[in-house]
Amino acid sequence: MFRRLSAMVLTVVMSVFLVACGNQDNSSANNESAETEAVKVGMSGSYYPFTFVEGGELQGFEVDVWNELGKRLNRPVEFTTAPFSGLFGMLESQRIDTISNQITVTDARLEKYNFADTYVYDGAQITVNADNTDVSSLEDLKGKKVAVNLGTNFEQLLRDFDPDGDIEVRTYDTGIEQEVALGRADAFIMDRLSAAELVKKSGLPLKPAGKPFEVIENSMPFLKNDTSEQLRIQVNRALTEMRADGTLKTISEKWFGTDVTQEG
Amino acid sequence: MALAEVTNLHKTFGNNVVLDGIDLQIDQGEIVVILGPSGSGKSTLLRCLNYLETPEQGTVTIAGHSVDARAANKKNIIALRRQTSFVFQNYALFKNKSALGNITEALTTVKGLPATQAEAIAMDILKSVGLEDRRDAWPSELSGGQQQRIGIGRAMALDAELMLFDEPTSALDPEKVHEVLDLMKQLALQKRTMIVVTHEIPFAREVADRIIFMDGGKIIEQGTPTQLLDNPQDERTQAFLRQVL
Amino acid sequence: MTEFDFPYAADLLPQLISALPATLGMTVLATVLALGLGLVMALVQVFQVKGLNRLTDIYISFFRGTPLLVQLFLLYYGLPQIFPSMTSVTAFQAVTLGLGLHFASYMAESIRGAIVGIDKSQMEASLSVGMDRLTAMRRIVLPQASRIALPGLMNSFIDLLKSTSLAFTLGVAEIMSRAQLEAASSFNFLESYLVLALVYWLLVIVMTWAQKLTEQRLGEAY
Ligand SMILES: Nc1ncnc2c1ncn2[C@@H]1O[C@H](COP(=O)(O)OP(=O)(O)OP(=O)(O)O)[C@@H](O)[C@H]1O
Ligand SMILES: [Mg+2]
Repeated sequence: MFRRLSAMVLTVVMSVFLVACGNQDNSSANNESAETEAVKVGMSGSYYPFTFVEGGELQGFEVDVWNELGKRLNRPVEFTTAPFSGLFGMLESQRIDTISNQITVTDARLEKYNFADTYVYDGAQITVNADNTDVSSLEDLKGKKVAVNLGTNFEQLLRDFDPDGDIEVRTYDTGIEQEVALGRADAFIMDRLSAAELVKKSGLPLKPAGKPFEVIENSMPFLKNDTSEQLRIQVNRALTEMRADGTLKTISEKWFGTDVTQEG
Repeated sequence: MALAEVTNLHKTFGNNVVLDGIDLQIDQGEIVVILGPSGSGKSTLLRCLNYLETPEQGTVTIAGHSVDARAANKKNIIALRRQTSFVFQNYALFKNKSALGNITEALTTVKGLPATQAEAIAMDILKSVGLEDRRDAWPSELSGGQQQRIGIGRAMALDAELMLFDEPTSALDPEKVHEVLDLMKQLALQKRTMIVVTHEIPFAREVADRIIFMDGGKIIEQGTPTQLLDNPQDERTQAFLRQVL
Repeated sequence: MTEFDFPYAADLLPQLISALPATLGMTVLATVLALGLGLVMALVQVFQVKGLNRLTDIYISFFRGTPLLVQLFLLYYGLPQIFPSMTSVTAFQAVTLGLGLHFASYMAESIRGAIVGIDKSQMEASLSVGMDRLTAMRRIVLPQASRIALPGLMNSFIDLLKSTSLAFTLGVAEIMSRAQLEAASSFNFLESYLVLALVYWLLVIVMTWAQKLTEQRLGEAY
């Protein structure tokens, strides 16, 4: 009985797993060299205009940058979209090679990851409902509900600013603009660039409150291991080229009307 | 040599001693009826013979297949069990099989006969139990008497050395009892070896070669129908017979 | 209040449909796994297989006692940290496996309950004609138990189908993620999630209808 049942369990599990694996053609890298194997880039797909899906097509600033990087690295690029909060887990478990989603370079992150050279300079921006008149700085957010995307450095930034917890921080995977437009949250904090685009594109009753604060340097994190380090160096080389020949600027102007890839 | 032999069989449920050292020999072609008051262990004895219940002690041998309670394993139990067939008080037909399917089932899955051959055998049996026109009926569509005839047919199909009957008629309406008893009389005429637990005294008198009286998990007394029914020795037998006759 | 954007909703539908193979693929494969494993665990419990019996108790208790999402995260993000080879498990596979393992525990209970509900005499009669226990299960008890188990199993199937929506958190391109991404860029939250809800609803209606048919077929017999 025991043997037959065990055999049955095994057969069932294995057969299902084999079928499941057979379904996925590109799951394991066979002997392809690292050069022709796709670079796997993770992004949220819901961070307009950096990465978003419209009409079923993934597009945005990050996508353009990577398509260009792919050409220069002479490797295909495979995009993986997942909720932002899951991206670092995917990086850790090596399911993706890097994250291209305006990841801000912070000390905590530098301890775990090496970043490519900064390719976007940005600032943190408070955005409020158009009706709101009493918020113009971080200080004003005390006693208010503030929405941020889960796992972003804006969450950390708020908590650092407000060690006593006077600000009620709420975290979301998507849809923070909707929360503020509906009045469920008083403000959201996001980088200046996407906040501005978001307000424009959504047509929601939102407006920036006060000036951007903090200079934010954004880039792509890589695991600290040999293969990742090699890729990071290649990416840096290509980014430098793109900066020099104006490609980076062109992409930036396409999405923002200005060059956000230069400091200051 | 006896076809079946039981030595020193013991069975308890919790601390209820149900079989208390049964010794028994059955000859080829012999028809044995077991009588006894309710709770005396008649069903348990039958069920220990084919190991539907596992006794704690004792040996059961049927047609050369022997199982000692202390060395019982799946293999020798199944070999022993395949020397027997069993007819249940509540019929216990396979509910998901037709009348025909109830009879063919073991022929195909246990004996490995091809379906056509199994069906031919089953049709013969359906005829002999008088139900060939109900071959496709589900058990739920049959009367109690019909169900029990199929139950007996299912047992007949196995063509086992020893047929065991546990009160085959006591769940039946009185007017249906004779259909089943008549069928069992036919089997008796074919000299099948049978052990029958029943309360049908006239049937026992007519058909049995030997009657065994059980009480309190022991065989109290046994003999020919005339000896046991007309001239019982033990006072427990006498008391029992006074009640049922 | 903005108007309901019908053209957008109409455009979204074919996109969701194009992501349907992933949703249905996970559903079907996970169902097969859950049903197979659930059946085996039910049998282990019914036959009280030594050792394994205790193990399935713990298994069922764990998978019913922890959130599915936590199990998926453990499988997808957690295990590769101890077993680096599990990195090659794709999100699709991880979700399929996770759903299968999770719902196996529920199905095991449905099946076990159904088997226990079958009169003992059915097993005894099967044994009395010389079958071994597994054959008796397969030929006599399980066919009868399937009728009883069907409604409970159907609940699990439906639950499983809807739970594939959690796969979006691991980045599987199924219908939930498609709707969510389109909603994020169009701000048509109502339209996106309503169309999505309708797609799930339709799928469940089809499954329920299939259940009715199966029940009828099982019910016609005996
Ligand atoms: N599975 C069981 N568990 C516990 N006790 C049992 C079990 N089966 C039988 N018994 C007990 O064993 C005793 C003998 O039962 P058995 O069925 O063998 O009697 P019987 O002679 O067939 O009686 P009846 O004429 O009523 O059928 C009874 O006291 C009964 O309660
Ligand atoms: Mg009895």
